[in-house]
Amino acid sequence: MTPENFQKIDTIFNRAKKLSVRKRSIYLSRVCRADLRIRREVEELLAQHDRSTAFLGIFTSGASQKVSHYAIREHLGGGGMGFVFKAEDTRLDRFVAIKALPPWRAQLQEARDRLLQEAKLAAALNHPSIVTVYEVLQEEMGVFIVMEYLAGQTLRDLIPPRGLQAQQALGYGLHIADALDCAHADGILHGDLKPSNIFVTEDRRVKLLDFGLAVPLYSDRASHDAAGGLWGTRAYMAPEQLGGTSNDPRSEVFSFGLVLWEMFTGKHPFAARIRNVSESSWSLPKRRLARIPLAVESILRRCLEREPQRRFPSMRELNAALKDICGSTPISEGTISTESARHRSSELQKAKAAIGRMNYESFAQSRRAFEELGQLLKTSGSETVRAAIGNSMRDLILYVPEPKSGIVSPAVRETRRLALELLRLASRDNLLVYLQPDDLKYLDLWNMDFSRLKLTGFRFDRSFLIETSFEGSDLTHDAFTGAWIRNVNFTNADLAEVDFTDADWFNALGLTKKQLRSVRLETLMPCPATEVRLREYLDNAYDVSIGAWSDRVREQIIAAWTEYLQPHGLRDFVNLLHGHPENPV
Amino acid sequence: MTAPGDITRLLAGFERGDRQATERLANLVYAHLRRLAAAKLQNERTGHSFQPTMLVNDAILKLAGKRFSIKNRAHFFALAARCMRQILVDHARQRNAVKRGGGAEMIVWDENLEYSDEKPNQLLLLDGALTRLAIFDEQKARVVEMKYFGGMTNEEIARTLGVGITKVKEQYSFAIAWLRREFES
Repeated sequence: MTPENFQKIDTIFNRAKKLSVRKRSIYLSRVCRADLRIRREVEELLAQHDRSTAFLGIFTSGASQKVSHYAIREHLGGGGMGFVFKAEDTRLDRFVAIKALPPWRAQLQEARDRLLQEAKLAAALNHPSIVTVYEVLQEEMGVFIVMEYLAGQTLRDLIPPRGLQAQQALGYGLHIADALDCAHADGILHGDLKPSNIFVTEDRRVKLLDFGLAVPLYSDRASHDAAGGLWGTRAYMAPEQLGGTSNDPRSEVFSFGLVLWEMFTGKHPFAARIRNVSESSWSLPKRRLARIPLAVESILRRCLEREPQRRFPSMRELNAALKDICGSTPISEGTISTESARHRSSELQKAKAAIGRMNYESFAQSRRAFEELGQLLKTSGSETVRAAIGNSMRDLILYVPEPKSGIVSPAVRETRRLALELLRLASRDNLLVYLQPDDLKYLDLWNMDFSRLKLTGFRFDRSFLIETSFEGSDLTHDAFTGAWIRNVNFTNADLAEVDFTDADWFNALGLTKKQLRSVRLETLMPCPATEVRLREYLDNAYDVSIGAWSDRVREQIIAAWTEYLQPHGLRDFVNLLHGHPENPV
Repeated sequence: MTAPGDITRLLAGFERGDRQATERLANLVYAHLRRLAAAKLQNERTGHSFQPTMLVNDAILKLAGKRFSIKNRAHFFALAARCMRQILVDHARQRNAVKRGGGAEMIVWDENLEYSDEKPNQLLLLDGALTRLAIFDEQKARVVEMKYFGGMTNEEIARTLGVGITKVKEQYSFAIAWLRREFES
């Protein structure tokens, strides 16, 4: 090959690849004329182009680009699990899509079985948003699924860098949720939901593709195969799937949340952290939320919970929630026209005005705004108003201005306390709607009322908890690692499996021995025994929060510690437990 | 080591098209990427794999952040893609030297390259084929390099090369067909 030839081959190749097989040969005869070398080169390249994205072509015989009565036309896409070709049904004279195994798997019985199962599962589903399977071919070359051919794009290609328009994103989201709901109802999990498996046809219909990893619901296939390889696409898996469990509809709720997020923002929510959704610190990016309508945001947060039990329990409920906001929310301008929508929007205006008045500057003002917002929450049925209040209160709780003098002022504490009250109201006592389990880490929480809440899995690591009440709360699996617990009321709280590693206890109130035994005992430790140890703590362990405080605050803490290191607190209980292990308390 | 203000100056030079600055910047990017890749590859046991394009993204965020115009950002990506290729090839060579032999390997064109040091041959073959392709048509080889090692979009590649997106797609599909044939023969 010479550089001049190369140019020529390039040009001919690019024209020829768009032609049908017959037209190609006419075209090649015309342009290559007597130059058989060029023609051969182009033909070889075209064969490669047509075959597959694998370096080892699928139809290695070269001669037959036909499976049964389907003539393979072009390669449409594919990955590790299979390749998809556009083909012509020579009997019915229509285009179809054919899915085949990649060559390195084609002869594996296990892979063939899987493809057959995929065909069966997909064929069992009859939904306008799920690709239709025509037939399955078992040829010598392998197993092939023949499906309807779709013209359009996958979401992967369709989503612009800054996301789809809200209306559109929600529209597609509804179709996807509906299709998944239908599949789950038929006992089938898609298993590999991601933008590249969701197709939008030229006339804007949504189709779920690739049931290659679909599994019957609650069957016992794990997300790892025998060789320890992970099934599915890491970036779109729920944390528990990375850990090895699958077949839970709530994992699919999570994947759906990722896709919905990406449609709205154009970005994967965890991309900034190399998509490592398995990491322990769990929080959604806060900055991007502006692009997501409030009502959608609370749905998204519930989809993208780390713990499956906090997500929507099923696709059905998620689907219902989405439909609900579509009916009731001004997703974008132009969609509201009814009387009630106008009413809601005036309520929303009111709420927004009051939210603006709740601030850390003036407690009196905050108090009035608080009353107004509380009233609105009681009277308004609007989810949008609720979400607006919930989201702003969450932000108010989480983002407190740096204390100037080193002490969090009473006005700030009180405002935050009121904000928590509103958050409870807005979330109907389910803080998880708005708060991530990690959100309360590192916060200084005074006089807050967390009583009778289900906080399972929350983290109060290194929080400063003072005169706060957890009375009757479900704190199962919570963590108070490195927290300061001073005059905190734990009466009747469920402390099963709570992690108190390095927590400092001063008058944890209302604790019973029975409660304490359900705590993860190995995490309990006595209070720091000496003042020296305490000062060490202040210098090292608390560099994030307390270490940066002024000396005066440090002295206050030390004074408080000295005062409370009287035999009132946890220490006695712990000593008792450790001292008399054979004698259950 | 570079002084804190250094990178800003180099970036400015790079934006102006200063050759020397570009070269120094490339060295810097190379060193940075290599550290990142080494950390990835030394982590845990053997059989590591990672997506090089993620590293490139990371490095660019760290080094340049948002200081670039979109056009120069694309150029910078291209630069990083080249560095990444070099790093992976070096690493694969070392691995190969350690592994010895290994027999024939299944070569798979994986669009979302996940680099795994268990298959060094695959990468070396690709590198060799790309070098040969560059002899005939450098642009095509660069398109593959940018896409494969830099994770760049068609649009970014088009911007870097100063051509249209259709052209990039054409170049890519030809290059892939050509590479596949190379691999088979």
